[in-house]
Amino acid sequence: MIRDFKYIIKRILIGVGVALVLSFLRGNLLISAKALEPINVTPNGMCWMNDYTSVCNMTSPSTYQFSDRYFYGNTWGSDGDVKRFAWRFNRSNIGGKYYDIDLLFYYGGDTSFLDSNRGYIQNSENNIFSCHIDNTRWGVTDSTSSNAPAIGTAVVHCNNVYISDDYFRFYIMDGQKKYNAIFAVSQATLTPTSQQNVIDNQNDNTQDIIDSQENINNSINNSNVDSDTGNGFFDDFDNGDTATLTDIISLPLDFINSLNNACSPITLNLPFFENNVTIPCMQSYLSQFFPSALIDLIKLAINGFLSFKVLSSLIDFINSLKDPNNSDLEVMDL
Amino acid sequence: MINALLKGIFSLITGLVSVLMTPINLLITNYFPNVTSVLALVRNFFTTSFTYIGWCIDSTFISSEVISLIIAFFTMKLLVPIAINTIKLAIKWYHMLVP
Repeated sequence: MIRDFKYIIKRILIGVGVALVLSFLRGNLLISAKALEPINVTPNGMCWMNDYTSVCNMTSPSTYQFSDRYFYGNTWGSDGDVKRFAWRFNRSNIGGKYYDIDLLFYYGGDTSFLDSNRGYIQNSENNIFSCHIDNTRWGVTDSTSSNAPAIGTAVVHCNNVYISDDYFRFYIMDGQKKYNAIFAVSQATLTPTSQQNVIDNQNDNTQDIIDSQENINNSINNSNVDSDTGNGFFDDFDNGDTATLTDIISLPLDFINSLNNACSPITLNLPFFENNVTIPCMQSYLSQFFPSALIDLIKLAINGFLSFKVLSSLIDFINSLKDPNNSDLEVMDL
Repeated sequence: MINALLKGIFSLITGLVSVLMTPINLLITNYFPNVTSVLALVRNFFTTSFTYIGWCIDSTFISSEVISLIIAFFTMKLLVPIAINTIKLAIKWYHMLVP
């Protein structure tokens, strides 16, 4: 027995050791995986990760030429890849207004560019370059403060654009006034449109689930629900009510009387729930799915069988009245 | 008609029971008031349960006529021996008083 006990202790110690080693490796792996996340820093300011993008904190107007090191890939393919940009702009006296932004795609020098509002260009090799920008309107987070930082995002669609050789410039458009050197944006997300749609659909489905859960929570925790009395569920059990022994003795008679009550749908006032549950009468409910002839046939079979049994018992009972061996019921001597 | 007859019989029995139980009821009400609250809980529970019997009977597809027939049969089966014995007892007394 001592030998078995030692064997068990040994196994337990080995299990604990393996668990410790695994948990240590798991922690290190997690730390390693986290360390692999890209951290991008632009020359113009500090950047940080925000959702799919990194955000650069720009303290002064500037321009920046994009290069391939700010993208996971250096090419926007012909299938209309999408990149999302986000930025934060701390220039003073910009609060309380909304601005448009413009995108220029420079190809082969500062004098050759494609405006995002001008469709496409075609080079000598008949390659079509096109870019356009979504979400061109951006604003200020705190409209009451003119010095609040401006935060915005832009989604850029481009075809056949080579970032390694060419670059973008964003401009803030204040009405007709154009600030020609405004800000720069760093990290982009290389997400094909189809994948983005899948992600958006998943996000929508997730939001639907969250909304439905919140609806359930609201139905349970709604402040309108009377949690003190449980929606009247406990009304029949109030302590203020009194009864006598006669009421208890009469309960069987009440039960027999209630056997002939007509059916009515049962409405359950469930405690702490806002909505009542109503159970319809079974025959009327089944009549929605089955023909009435079938229901009548079932009723005829059940009631006919019961009637037969009752009448048989009645005949036996009457016969017992004439049984001379049954002195209690025999009535022939009356 | 069967239902009316049954209700009349039940009312009669209830009245008789009430008269017989009056002293005990008064005793409980005056000296054990908390017991009446407990009895009320029992009565209310069964009264609440009885409100669903119609739904249960409807679910069994048994018609109200057959229910009345069953109740009438068992009522008769219980009452007839009492009536017969009562008549027999009365006749027996009559023969004793009038030899």
